[in-house]
Amino acid sequence: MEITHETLENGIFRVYLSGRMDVLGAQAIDLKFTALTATKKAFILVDMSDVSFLASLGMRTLIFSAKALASRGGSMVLFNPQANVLDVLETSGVSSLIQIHHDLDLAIDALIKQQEE
Amino acid sequence: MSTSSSTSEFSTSLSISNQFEDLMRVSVWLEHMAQRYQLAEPTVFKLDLVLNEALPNIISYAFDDDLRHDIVIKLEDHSDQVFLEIIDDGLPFDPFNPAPLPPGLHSLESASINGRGIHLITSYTDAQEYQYVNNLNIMRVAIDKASVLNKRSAENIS
Repeated sequence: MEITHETLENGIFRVYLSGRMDVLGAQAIDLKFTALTATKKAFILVDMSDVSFLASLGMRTLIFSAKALASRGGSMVLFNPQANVLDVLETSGVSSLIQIHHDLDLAIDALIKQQEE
Repeated sequence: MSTSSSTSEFSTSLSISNQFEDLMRVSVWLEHMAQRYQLAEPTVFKLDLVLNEALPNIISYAFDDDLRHDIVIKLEDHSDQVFLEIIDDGLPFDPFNPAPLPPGLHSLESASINGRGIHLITSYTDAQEYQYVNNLNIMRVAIDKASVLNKRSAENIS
């Protein structure tokens, strides 16, 4: 599993994940993902477009960082998960805890609104 | 969970050790079996998910020693269903009793990070069974080939 990142013009941090977010995949990115997303107040768009599989240990990584961000006044949205991955997020209830968007502009708008609150 | 009414198209198994590194072998094996027996993509996804939820739990919690243990995975293809069985010689544990509840979802701040695995297994399979026989945990699940994603999705569609 791979992880890259960039800072968008509006200060939003975009993290790209790719690969299988299973046990081994989550282990591979866990430290870097947590360091990038959970150590300071930030507004983070997690691009899930290239995540082909998600298991609960992968969701653990997402929820851990989303909780840490919320406690620091930041926020996270998930962008464009594939159908199977979206189904797992909905079945497990994660979609009711972390916003999911399939439109990039709407995803960024959601984070900008939270920046302004 | 009866299999007497249908004939097995194939039956295959894989044995791994109780090491996380061996999970890679499981992914490769499942991919190989899916291609060889032309299993449908939704069925393969569900098998993949069940294996990825059950096996890490077994490796992490089933054994109270540092010894090597075998975990056996059996896959049977029948006309209407696929059956997956996971057998280990760890501490007795029935994952389906009591029935797993969906994780608490009141807020992100209070959400539990753990506890979603067994709920996912029951959500993505059509029948579940657990037995403890001859000091072995035997977890068996069935997946209907006709079903698409999970039961919740099917309920929403209908």
